[in-house]
Amino acid sequence: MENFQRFLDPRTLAKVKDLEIRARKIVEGFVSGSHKSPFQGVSVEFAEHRQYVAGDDVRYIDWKLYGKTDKFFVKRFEQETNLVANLAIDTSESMKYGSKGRTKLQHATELAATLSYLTLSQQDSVGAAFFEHKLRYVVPPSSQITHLNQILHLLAVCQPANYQSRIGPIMDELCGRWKHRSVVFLISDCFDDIDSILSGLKHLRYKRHEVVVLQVLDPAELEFPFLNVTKFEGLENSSDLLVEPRAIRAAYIKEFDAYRRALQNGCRSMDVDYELVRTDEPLDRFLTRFLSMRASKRSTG
Amino acid sequence: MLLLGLSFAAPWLIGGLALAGLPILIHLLHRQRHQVMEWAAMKWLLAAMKKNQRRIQIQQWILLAVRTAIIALIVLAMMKPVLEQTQGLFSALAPNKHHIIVIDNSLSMQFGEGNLKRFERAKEMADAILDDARQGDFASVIVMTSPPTVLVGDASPYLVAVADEVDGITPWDGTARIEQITEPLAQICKASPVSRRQIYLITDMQRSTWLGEGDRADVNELKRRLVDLSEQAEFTILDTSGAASPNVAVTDIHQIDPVAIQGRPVVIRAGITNYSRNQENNVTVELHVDDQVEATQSVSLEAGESKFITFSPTLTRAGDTAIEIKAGSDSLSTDNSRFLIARVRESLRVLVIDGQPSGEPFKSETDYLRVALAPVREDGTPDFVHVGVKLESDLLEENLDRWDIVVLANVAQLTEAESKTISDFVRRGGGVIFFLGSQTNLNAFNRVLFAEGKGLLPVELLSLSEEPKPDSPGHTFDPKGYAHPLVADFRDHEEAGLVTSRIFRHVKAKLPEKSTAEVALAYDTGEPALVIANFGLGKVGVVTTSADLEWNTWAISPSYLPIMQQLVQILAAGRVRRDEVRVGDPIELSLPDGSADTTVSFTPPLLANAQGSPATPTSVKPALEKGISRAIFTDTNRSGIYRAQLGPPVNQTWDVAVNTWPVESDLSKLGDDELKGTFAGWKFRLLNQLESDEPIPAVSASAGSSLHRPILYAVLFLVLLEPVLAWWFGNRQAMAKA
Repeated sequence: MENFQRFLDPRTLAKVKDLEIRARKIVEGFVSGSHKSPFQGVSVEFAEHRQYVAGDDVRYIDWKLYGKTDKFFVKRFEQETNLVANLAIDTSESMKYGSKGRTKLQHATELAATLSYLTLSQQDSVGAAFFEHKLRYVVPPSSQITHLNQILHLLAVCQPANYQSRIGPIMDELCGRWKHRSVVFLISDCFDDIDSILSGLKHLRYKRHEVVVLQVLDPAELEFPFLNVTKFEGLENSSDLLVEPRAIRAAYIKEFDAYRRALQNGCRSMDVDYELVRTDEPLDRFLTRFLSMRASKRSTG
Repeated sequence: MLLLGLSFAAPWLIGGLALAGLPILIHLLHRQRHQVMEWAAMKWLLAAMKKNQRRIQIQQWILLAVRTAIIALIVLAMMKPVLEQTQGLFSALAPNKHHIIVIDNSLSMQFGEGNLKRFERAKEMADAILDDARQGDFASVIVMTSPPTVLVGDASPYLVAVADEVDGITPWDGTARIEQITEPLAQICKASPVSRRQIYLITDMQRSTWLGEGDRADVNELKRRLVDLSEQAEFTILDTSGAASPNVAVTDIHQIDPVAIQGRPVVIRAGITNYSRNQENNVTVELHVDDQVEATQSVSLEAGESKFITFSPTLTRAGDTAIEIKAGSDSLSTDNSRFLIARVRESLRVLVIDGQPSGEPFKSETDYLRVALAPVREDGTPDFVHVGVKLESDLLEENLDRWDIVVLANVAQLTEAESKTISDFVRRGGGVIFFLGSQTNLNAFNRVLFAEGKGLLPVELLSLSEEPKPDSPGHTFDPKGYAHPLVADFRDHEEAGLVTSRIFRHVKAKLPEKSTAEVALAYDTGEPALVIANFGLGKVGVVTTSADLEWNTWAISPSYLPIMQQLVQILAAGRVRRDEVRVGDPIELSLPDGSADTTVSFTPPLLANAQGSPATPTSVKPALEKGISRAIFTDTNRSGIYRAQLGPPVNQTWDVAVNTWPVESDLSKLGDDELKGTFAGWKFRLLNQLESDEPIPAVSASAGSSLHRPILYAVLFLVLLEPVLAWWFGNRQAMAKA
């Protein structure tokens, strides 16, 4: 409770409001009128009957109709949104890096706020968890619109900790907390041991969660555009390095791309969605692309 | 300064090599002035660094080495290194070279004794250069005769054959001039098959060889040519002169009397010059007549002083007589002798054409003249002039070559044929005197003989002077300051009657513009009285008054006889004198009429060639030029007496004296500093082989190749390579990845 007291600070409240406004603007930019959820829920609404054929799930046989007609009919349902979304937000020290005045954490919190707003605006439930080497805050899922304020407050005030993230164990821990199936959004730069990350994700999938990895990266981390001799001071307790960037650029990009490819491949093998979130790409554009991709995946899947 | 076989023209710039450390310093400073940045993706940066550290270090070292080499090579090029040793590795790397050897074989190069002569040294140096040349090199040879002899013009790869040509070079007694070799050198460089050329000028650095007459315009032109040449080839001067040594030379020989008469003393004047820096005492001067010592004198000379000595030998044999003056016994023996051919005559033969003959004594036009030319001595013997008097009508009948002088006295006019006969006679060396008079047809003379300045007559005849009044004293002669040799002896001797003679009438005459004729005697009116001019090889004289007493009292004046005798001697110079020929100049002989089909055989002086064997005659066919047969012999390489044997039908033997150029006897040198000052901008190296006492083979080795140009090419290559390497090292992996 002590931490929540700082939400009463006017500056913090202004930040929260600002975050809410920005999230709403982003969402309103691409959500207008009726829509179907891009995420598959568990609640259904009856649509029509169809004669049973071998192979249909016997659970959906309408026994009352059988009693009346002496024929087997199965019930068909129109899916409707009743989504539970859980956001896992990385606040480790590496998330404080930003090359153009905007840190990865800022971008991640804005993304999380937007997703929260989007989910709640559809009367779905949203929960959140903040972690670095251990879980800091966990907000259980709720579809109450007032619940948004709690999440936004936490997003607004969260600061990068001086710790390295431990995504695998954290995911294991969250599996114990999130008992019900949900869509889990891992919002992180994923600067962790790749086997540990994949192990955590595997655990979530085992618990039948749908997992989306949103890897937030700065363009400088992807392109390494530096020219002058630079002393790189490592975050998360790594050592320093004085290098001629032009000489090492190609080798660095090669190493970094290899890591990203391994993460992508690992995600794909577990049917985990992976998306790269560049901090220099406007969020509305990213979400448009991301949601379109989800919708298309759902229709084909 | 010699380092690793390299010598440097600007060794003091070696400190500049410290600048080569600049890239390393900048690199270190650059690392010190780095920026600091927090970085999240350190794990992958460290991994990349670990895998590529060695490669990055090597690439940085390569770039540093290239940048360091650029500065070091620029400094090295500014030091102007010269590859001194063409052995070993450098030899294998160096491209083929064209050795262009220029040998000075002029008179001054004969200074010294035996093998120590400058010329022999020069040949040894040339041999050493050729011995030291590499397989595949080329060679050319120029000999500094005047004009230069291009011994091997095309770049020859056969160095042994070129060495044989060098061994065959003989000294010559003429001059050498640097400006004469610039043109053949430029042509050889232009046709050279390789870009690496070296000119070796082997000379004794004689001042006159470089500066000639010292004309500034000529020197500037020579400088321009030398600068141009040094752009095409490296220039090395090998000085063979050694220490300064004394030299006394016979620089002049002259027969003072116009005509050498058999049995009479003839005055010979010799000029002796001491070119040493010290006084030379009691130098023995000998007069040789036909190789026999006739007289000896001794003379003392201050440093740089010239003195004249006269001898008066009596020449007893008619015909060409060889006169030689010998002086001193220094190490340049050739200029210790000078030669003269005295054409000793029994008499002078004068043909007088009388335009106004008379049967009475002293009534003819030429009576006084005949007496004046050939007075009878007290002992009854005839004088040295033999006079023959003929009429105008006899002129074309006479064989004029039998006569030395033709006098035309008061002849009315000459036909075209007569004019041509007389003109050809003068062109061949004869002399003619025109005395004008009352019968002279001025218009005819002007038309046929003056011919608007192109004819035999050197003056245009304007008109007769006014007829004198009975009591008129007439005009007198103006001796014009007694400047002309003809009247010089009358200075301070007015009683001799030259200026007291009365001239009542004369023909007014005018010299054409730019005429070279000399007015020996004028009238008090300023008009010319006696004019002498050259025409072909002979001379022509015009007296604008009469030869007798018709127009003047001069014929009975005491001055008339000596002037007439002096005049015929002067005008006979073309027949009784043979001009001195200098080494390198052609001997031109004007042959007697009817010699067109003869052959003239020229024999150079004995011992003219290096081996001392008898000289071989050279036959020359005369060429007809303006109706005159002329035989020209050009190979006058040595000083001495050349003999011309005229074949049938002439069957005569003529001798010609060929002498050295006095300028070659002055052995003063042009020093290194003066050379650089005079020819500023010309790039050359001057090596004094004798003073430095280096072995001869070192000459060619030291005449090394300048390396600054290839070094600058290397710098240019590295300057272009550096950004390419930097770009390549920075982008290679990215490209490979793409």
